[in-house]
Amino acid sequence: MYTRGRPTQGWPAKSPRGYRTSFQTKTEDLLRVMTKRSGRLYLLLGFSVAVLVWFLYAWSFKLTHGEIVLGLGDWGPGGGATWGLYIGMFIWWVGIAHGGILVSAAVRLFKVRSLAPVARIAELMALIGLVCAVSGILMQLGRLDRVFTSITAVLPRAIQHSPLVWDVTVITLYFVLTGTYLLLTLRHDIYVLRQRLPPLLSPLYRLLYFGYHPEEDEKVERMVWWLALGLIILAPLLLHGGVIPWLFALLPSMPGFYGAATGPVFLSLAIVSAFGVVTVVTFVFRRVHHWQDIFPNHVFATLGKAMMFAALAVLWLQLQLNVTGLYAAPIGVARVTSAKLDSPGYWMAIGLIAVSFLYLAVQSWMPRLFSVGRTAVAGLFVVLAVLVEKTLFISEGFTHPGFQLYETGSYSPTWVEVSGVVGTIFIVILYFTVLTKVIPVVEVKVLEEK
Amino acid sequence: MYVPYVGTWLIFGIVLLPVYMVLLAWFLGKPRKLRLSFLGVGYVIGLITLLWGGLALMSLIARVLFI
Repeated sequence: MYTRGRPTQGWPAKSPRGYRTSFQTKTEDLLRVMTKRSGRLYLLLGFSVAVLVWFLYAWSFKLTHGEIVLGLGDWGPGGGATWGLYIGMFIWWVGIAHGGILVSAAVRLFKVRSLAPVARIAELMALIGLVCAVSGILMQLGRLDRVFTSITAVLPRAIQHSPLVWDVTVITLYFVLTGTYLLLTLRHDIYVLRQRLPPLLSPLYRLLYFGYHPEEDEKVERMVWWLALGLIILAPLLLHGGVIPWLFALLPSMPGFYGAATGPVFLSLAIVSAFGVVTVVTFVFRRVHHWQDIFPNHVFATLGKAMMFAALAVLWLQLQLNVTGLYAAPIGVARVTSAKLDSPGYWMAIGLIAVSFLYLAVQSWMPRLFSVGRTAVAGLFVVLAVLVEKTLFISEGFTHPGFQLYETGSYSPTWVEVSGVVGTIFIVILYFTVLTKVIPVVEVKVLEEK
Repeated sequence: MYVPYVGTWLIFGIVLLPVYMVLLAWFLGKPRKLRLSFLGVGYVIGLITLLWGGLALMSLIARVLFI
């Protein structure tokens, strides 16, 4: 079992000299970042807030002027796509949110110890990834009150047959269970560090470790083990590889959305982007805070290998889709597959994933070529590639319906939608910048290890 | 006779199965500490309330301000 180590009674540790030095150094590093204020920090906060103001302006512009400013139209006589970048972004962020549970499951269920230092960052990423995903739906939907009223009004009946309601149910559960996971694991860490944390936030910390006793660690560890198991089944297999693709398959005249392989394709893209984002975020933390001892090279080597296998799965499943979609396929499927292959965006996405895969494979076999920076660049490449692929999946699916009444439509993202995507990225930057000052972003028991 | 939709089985029988598993394991698994099992359930219920309660409040404010 993955047990909590020493110390549980308080800080600093009373242990052998070498251990104490290592633990204290890493913990001091963590606490230094939590309490440090600098001009660069305020500059980043100010810039992020400015981008968020622009994001809110773009959203209010859309609310004021309506759908027309999105360049989205009816897929009938309008000859366009009813969904575009916003919904592509929704699937992209949900996929990224899986990073949290994939890393936690790797650490807790499969004992991949080298990923333990990034487990909490990944869990935090899962929470904010889901928030950003839902913001894509909110921006597409328009009136905020529609989310609550449209779901609650039909939930008791629709839960029996509507994948849209299943989607809302499972995303809610994913968010709630990940939040529970984080709250349970934070109790020990906040308690151990309580005397060194910012005094201003002490009421919050008291609430977070309310009723904590060191003897509870073993039970909590078992509880989060079961949570990791439950989440790894619920989120990747039944949400991204289940409910979301089932939902798209319901649109009967869109051959691009239909097919049994859609679930595995979604899942492969989600996994590669999830590991990609965790790699990029960890790289930024290491670079900005000089945390080479907390996030050593082997963390990136493991993330690189995970990304490599996920990228290979993406390429293999795309091959399956394209061969079955082109070779004596039904007319609608052949048309949408051809359109996808004619798109430079698709080849850019596949190219970025292929280049990342090749580099990560070479790096795995020839360790002298390993580079933390290049691994992070590969992470960035796959994340961008998945956003492009997801947006093309949505827009090409709509602009190539399975009937010939109208001409093929067209779609290109507008500044309003691009502002939405950039805004959510800065929400994540702001979130991590602030959270780093509030809670330990690395589990203390990982720092305690020799 | 009432026959449930196939979706009823799918959502309650398959998709939500991991959630039942987690809750059962919390209460029946060893070491058995009911205080912590209930704490976990409290977190789950609290977060659901926070999420959907917050959304309800936001909807109410949006209606008051814009409609």
